[in-house]
This record gives sequence, C-alpha cells and structure tokens, in this order.
Amino acid sequence: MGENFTDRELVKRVQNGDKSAFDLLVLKYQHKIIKLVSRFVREPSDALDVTQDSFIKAYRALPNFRGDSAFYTWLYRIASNTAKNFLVSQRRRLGDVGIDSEEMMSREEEFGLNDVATPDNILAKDEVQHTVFETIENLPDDLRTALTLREFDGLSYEEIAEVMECPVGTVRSRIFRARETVSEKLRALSGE
Amino acid sequence: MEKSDKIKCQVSSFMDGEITEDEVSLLCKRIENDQALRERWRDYHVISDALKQQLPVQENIDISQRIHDALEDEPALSGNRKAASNSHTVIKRFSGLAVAASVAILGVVVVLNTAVQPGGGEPTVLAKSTPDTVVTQVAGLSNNPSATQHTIDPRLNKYLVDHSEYAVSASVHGMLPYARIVGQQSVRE
Amino acid sequence: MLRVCSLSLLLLCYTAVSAQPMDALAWLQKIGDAQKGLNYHGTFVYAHDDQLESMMVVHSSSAEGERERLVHLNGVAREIIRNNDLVTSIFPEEKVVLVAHRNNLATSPFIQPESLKVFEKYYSLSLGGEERIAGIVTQRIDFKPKDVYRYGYRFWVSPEGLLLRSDLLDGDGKAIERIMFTDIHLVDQIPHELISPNIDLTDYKWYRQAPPVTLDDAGKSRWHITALPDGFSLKSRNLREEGASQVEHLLISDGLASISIFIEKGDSSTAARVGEFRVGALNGFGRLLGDYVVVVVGDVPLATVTLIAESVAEND
Repeated sequence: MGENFTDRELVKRVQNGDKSAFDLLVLKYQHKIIKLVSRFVREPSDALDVTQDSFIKAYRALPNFRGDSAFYTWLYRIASNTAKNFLVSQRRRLGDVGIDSEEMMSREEEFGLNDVATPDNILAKDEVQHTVFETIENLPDDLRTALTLREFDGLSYEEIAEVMECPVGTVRSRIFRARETVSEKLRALSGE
Repeated sequence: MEKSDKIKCQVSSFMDGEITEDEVSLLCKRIENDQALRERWRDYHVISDALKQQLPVQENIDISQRIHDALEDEPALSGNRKAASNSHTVIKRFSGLAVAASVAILGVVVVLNTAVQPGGGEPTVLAKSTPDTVVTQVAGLSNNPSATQHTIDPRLNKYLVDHSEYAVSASVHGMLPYARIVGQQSVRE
Repeated sequence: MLRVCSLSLLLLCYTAVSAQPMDALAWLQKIGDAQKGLNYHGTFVYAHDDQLESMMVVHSSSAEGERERLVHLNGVAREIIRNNDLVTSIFPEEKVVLVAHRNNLATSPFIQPESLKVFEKYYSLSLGGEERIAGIVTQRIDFKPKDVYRYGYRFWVSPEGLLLRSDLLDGDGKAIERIMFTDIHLVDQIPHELISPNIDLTDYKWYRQAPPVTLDDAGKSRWHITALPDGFSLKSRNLREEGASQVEHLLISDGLASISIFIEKGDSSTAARVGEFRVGALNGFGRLLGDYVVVVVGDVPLATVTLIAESVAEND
C-alpha cells in the first residue's frame, strides 16, 4: 500500500500499453521535476523544455524500468541527467569547451536565485502556497488533523484511524473533504 | 455523498495508495475520460507539493498537455518488457561528490573509544546506561590518555555536514548546527 | 506502530496541557518566528570542550526569502552562506567552494505549535530570571530532560525572540556547549555587502552537490527503526548519491535535539566508521548491518545514538 502502490499500478498500466496512465504520472510529478530542473537551468522556457524531454525519455525507457527502485527516484535521475546534458550542450554551443561539467557554474548563478524567478512567478507561487496553508488552517479540526497526518507524517489511513479513533472510511472522507475544500479555493484563485 | 463525490473521493484515496487493485482499472478509465477528475488528480498533488514546499516558482504551469501531445506519435508500450540490462546508461551518476566530501570539513578531530568492539551486531551495554555515566564517560574522553585521537574519516566529514544542514531546519537554533561545523575547523590548526 | 503510539500521546497532550508552563512555550514559539522573520547581524562566541570560537552571523528576511551568512572570525575565514535552501560553503585554505541544496523539510506549520507542547512530556520547562546578554535584558528558559535520551538546554531570549545565549547541558547540568552573542544589531534592512562574501573567488574551484531525492513515502525505504525513544519522530528521509554508492539519510528530532541516521553499503573504508565517536557536542555511533554500515550522529547522549543505531533493521 502507500504511494508506492499508486506508482507501481500506474507504471504497470503504461507498460501494458495504457498511455493515458502516463498522463497521470506527468500530472503527479510535473511540478517536482520543474523545480528540480530549474535548479540547473535558469531560463524558464528552457526549464520547461528540459522537463518535457525528461518525461519523454522516461516514457521511452519505461519498458526497462523494473521497479527495484521507486519510480520517482528513477524519474528524478533521468531529469537531473537531462538537465546536466542540456547545460553541457549549451556550453558547447557557446564555444566554452574546456569546462568540466562537474566543476560547475558561474559565481552569479550560485549566488543568484536558484529557482527560475520573476516577480510575477513569485507572486503566483506565494498566492497558491498561501491559499493552501490558509485554507487548511481554517479547516475544521478533524479534517485538518486527518490531512496533516497523511501529508506530513505519512501515516496510512489505518494508522490515522487508530490515532483519531474513528473508522477508516471516516478518515478516507475527511482527507477527501479537506483536499476538496482546498482545491475549490485554488480553482477560485485561477478563475476556473 | 453524491455519486460524483464518491468518485472524487476515490481519486483522493488512489493518490494515497488506499484503494484495491481491482478498483484501479475502472478509476483510471474514468479519470481518462473526465476532465473534472483529472483536475482533481492534478490539484490534490499541487496541494501536497505546496504543503511540502515542493512547488517550483512558476507553479501554476501545467505542461501535461504538451507532453501528452509530444507523445502522440509514440507507440503504446507492449506488454513484453525488454531485459533491463542497458538501463544503467540512463542512470549516469553525478560524481565529483567524493571530492566535495573530502574538502568539506577536513580534519575534524574525533575521539574514538577504542574499548568498543567494531562491528558488533549485539546491543552494547552502553545503550542501557544512564545519561550521567554516559556523559561522564564522554566528558572524560578528551583527557583520557587511553582514548585515541583520529583525523576524521572523509565520509564521516560528509555525514557531519549533511547532518548539520538538515539539523538547521529542524531545530530552533538557527545557525547553531553550522557553527558546529565552522567552529570545528581550528581544532586541526 | 511505535510511531502511532507516540502520535496518539502527542494528540492527548494537546488537551492535557495545563496553563502554567505555557509561558515558556510561548517563548519557544517566539524564538521560532524570530529566527526566520528578523533582520540582524552580530557576533557570537561558540564554546565547546576547551575551544572558543568567535563568529559573525548576518540574517536577512525579505520577499525573496531568507539569507544567512556565517563567518569564522578566528584563524582561516571560512564561511557559509545560506540562500533559502541553497547552501554555499567557502574554504579559503583549499580554495574551494562547495554548493549544496538542502531540501525544505516538510515541517508542518499546523502541528508545530502543538508539538511544542510535546516538550512538556520529555522536558521540565521553567522560566528563570531576567539576565543581561550583549547589553539586552533576556528571559531565561530551562529545559531539563525527563529521561536518559536527551540533554538539557538553557536559553536566554531577547524580547523580540532572538536566542542570545544557548547552553547544552549534560546530566549534571554542566554546559557541554555554549553559544553566546557578544553584540547584536536588529536592523530594518541588511546592507548587501554584509551578506555577500568578501573573498575574491575568481580562482576558486566550484563543486556542486546534486540535490538529494526526498523519499516522502516510508514504503520506499528498505530500513525501519524498531525502537525510537518517545518524543522523537522522523522529519525527513533522503537519498543521496555519493560517488558510486547511495546513502540514505534519515533525520529524527524531538524539536530540540536532531539525530541523523546514515545508511550505505560498506566498502574498504567501512571500518573507520564503526564504533563510538564524538565531535564537539555531537555523539556518534557506527555499526555494521549485513553488507551495510549504519552511522548515527546527533546532539544527544551516546546512549541515544547507540540505541538508535542498534535498532535500525532491514524491512522484510
């Protein structure tokens, strides 16, 4: 059980020919991978291209994925290698060949902002982050506790049921209602 | 619960790996064909990422459609998988870390208690001792002529730096864990 | 299961707290907030064993996040600069710059205030008198451990919530480690030159460490801890590649003390990591577990790191 179960099931489906299951993996991991790639690649549009490349490589390599490591660990490696290769090829294009890619980066890059940041972006991120935190803070206690035990402590539904002294079905619906409340707020934010 | 809520609730449970294998198939089909369910799947993960501070700066970007389109011409994978012998080529490692580790905090002096048998799998008596005896022992060590002083193993160096980096965010002490590292330097000097 | 038990204890504590020690807790909460939100610079001394080190610290908080700089004032001017989760260490002797990412830990802002109350179960909290540190009148807070698994603490806190002095105490109440500010300035804004390195880094070698993989699902680990002392819980689980091998890093904390567990496959250098060791106020213990080496390190008594190292077990 647990999150591993979800990834294993989705991977199995993709490996058996269900392409739409891959969309779910993309939706699940795209933000984490964009964040990772942005640490290497500064230009926002490049970062998105590299993220897209990483997912495509992952899709093509998926027949070889045996599941002895977690899917995310595997995807993460693909993305960091893709980002690294992108940097190397970019340097080559700029004629800057002599640089060992392991000895990295210009001083400005290291001391600058590590995510791809523009004032608008920062605002957008803060807004979402803020909305999520604020909404959860204002949730009824039982919803908030159930969700935080799941998200922060990584407890299974059964363990949460034990802690909160309620049936597993109640945990299931509390976590769902908590998420649904926050996602409604997020939709209001983006005007969907 | 309304029927549509019931399925959304399943999406939430699926995210946590809390549905049965039998339910997965039907649910995946439903999500594939229902825009609202896909949005839930995406948003619930955005919430999770936001809580864990894992959103990128440009978080409101959804590039799943782009990737979906780019994969349009890719064949669906067939059920028979190839042997995984060449998967190593994908997993290239970042090296340079060994070097980084060796320069991290060179030469912190460590007091090793030589009385401890290395490699013992059995719990030692120390685990049961009271803090007073342990602390006395530890405090006594630096002046104990039988204790040996070693230059620290490079890998332990690395561990100490990693521990400090993480301890900074876990403690109310702010920079204290870093001070421990920076402060150790002169021991060697 | 043990975790679940300690969690339910935690939840019980929410309701069982009496009003009296809340003052000390309120102070503690204040420290946490101040640590992040204030702009300040100052000098402090760091003392342990017979060593006394002097350091300068600068902290700025703005729309771009947190930035912090720590400079060693004795001997070689090593420094560490933290820019949100980017940590840059400068080593002038070796002419090396090491850049590493620290993943933001998933600390819950919703549980945190309550988990402060957990302290009461494992530490006796009391407010001491007012004392002057670095020219500022501070409030003293004492934490006496109630079991054998942790050290005691004594904090001196400014009215703004800045920790101006902090002592780590052994079982006899003797200080093992001390940090004390000798001067501190709270300012509206930190000038740029104060928070940037004043070393010319042009001919330095730069090394960048790949960010660790956060394992946010316990199921992904092949290890578990069978006997964690009550009050301690898992804060993060990361996987890092070190050359040819992988190191799993688990961080455990009770809110005051932090303990790291490192697990990796053994090699020819393994023997050097087995046994007890001590670095300043940090105690460590390494042991073999099958083909793997488990090293536990933290600002807790040796008994605690030993117990935890002994209780790491492989999942079936």
